[in-house]
Amino acid sequence: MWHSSRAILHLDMDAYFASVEQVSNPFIRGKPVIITGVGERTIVVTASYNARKYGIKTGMTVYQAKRLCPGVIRVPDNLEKYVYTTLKIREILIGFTDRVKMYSIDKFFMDLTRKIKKYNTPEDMLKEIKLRIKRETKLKCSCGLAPNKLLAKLGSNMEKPDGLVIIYPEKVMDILKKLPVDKLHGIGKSTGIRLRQMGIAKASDLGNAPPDLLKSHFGFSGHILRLMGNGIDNSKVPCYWEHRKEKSIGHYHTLPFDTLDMDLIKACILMLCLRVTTRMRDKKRSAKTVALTVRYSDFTTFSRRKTVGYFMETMQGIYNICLKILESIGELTKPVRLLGVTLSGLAEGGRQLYLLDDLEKESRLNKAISEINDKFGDFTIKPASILIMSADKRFKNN
Amino acid sequence: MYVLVKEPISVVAIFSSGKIIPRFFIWKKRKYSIEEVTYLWRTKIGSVPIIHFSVTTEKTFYEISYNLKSFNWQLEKLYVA
Repeated sequence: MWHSSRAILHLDMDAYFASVEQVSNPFIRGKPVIITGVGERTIVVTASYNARKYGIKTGMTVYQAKRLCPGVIRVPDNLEKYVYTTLKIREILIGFTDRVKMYSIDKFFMDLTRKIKKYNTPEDMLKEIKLRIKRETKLKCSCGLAPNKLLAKLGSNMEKPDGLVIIYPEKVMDILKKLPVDKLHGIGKSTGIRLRQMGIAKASDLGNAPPDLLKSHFGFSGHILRLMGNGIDNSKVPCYWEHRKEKSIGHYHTLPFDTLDMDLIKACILMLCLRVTTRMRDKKRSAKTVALTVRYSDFTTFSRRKTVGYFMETMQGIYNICLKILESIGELTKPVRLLGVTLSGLAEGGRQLYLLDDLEKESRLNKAISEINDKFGDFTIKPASILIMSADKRFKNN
Repeated sequence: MYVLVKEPISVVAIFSSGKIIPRFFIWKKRKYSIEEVTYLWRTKIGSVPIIHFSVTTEKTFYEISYNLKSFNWQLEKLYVA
């Protein structure tokens, strides 16, 4: 029986993108498969379990993956297909409870507190959820059931693939005593190293650490870390229709070759501005802050941001800020590999009336362009300067 | 290896009870009998809905798509082992 006040499930789809492709294509089932972006310079987004046996991991370059397993099958990602499948899985989960939160494209939290009592055992309910997903999508997932989200996430990571782990409230402290502190969700590599340097190796050590010690090292986060060490997480799983507003909107693009060509760099930034502006407009928002991210060929990465005293909603306005940031960086010291544009400081209501005729005209023009692109597809109408990218043969080959 | 094709094809399909089941397609004057529809998903190009099908013939995997506005079929890509 389940005696806790809450029953939270974390559901993690196993090697998601690779599994979707293997379900789609029977000729690659049971074989080492990597999902990648387009072009030779892209990275591994997901690896199938067969590919992981060779040491292939997410984030590796395709070249590294092929060195580890020359016969690995490379599948270009198909995000629309995965999103469609995710929404299908979400529909299945909503059939069990309204309290479903899509944590990422392949992870969900569910609050089963009210529903789990209808089943003889918690295992019965979890098996039914897994079975329903398997029957309707042919995909496997790993589940963790626990009294809160932190422990449920921990549970789903304990057995993979196709795992089913239940952390009963009375077993929590035993698990935390054995658990390395950096295995707690939310404790990253650097925090883990700092904690170990402080003599905190296990999760329970963190829970027993003096509050003042943690506060002096981590500020207010020290209080949260101590709660985590005690296996406490009071955050709720909202209903699926409750949406939290995005805090930022960003897009990144890895160039098909490293370059110092400012025309190409500016064209790429303009394309990114068009993408973020379109998304911002879709969400009826406007932004005050623009951040430009640059990654050099040696993977050195930095971001510079600029906040203005008004809310921007036009692509040109955002692009102009990006150019100012680019100017402030000065001469680029190495060839550029990746660029990113992120908008933050978002406000409700994208539409505003401008006093100046030119701005009002530009706003109307952007709206018209958005409507045409909505109807006929992204980039149906685009700034001519982006064409430099498609005119370059090196872009065409990727 | 996956090969992008993006060429128009002719398809014989069953339209029944709101479902579309492609049975065979003709590409470059050759007929390909579909053994199994392994996956299906929907997308949009602007406001135009597109249905995508992953299908297998005896020897090969294909992705075909059906444009619900123009009623055109397209061979998107194929897999060569």
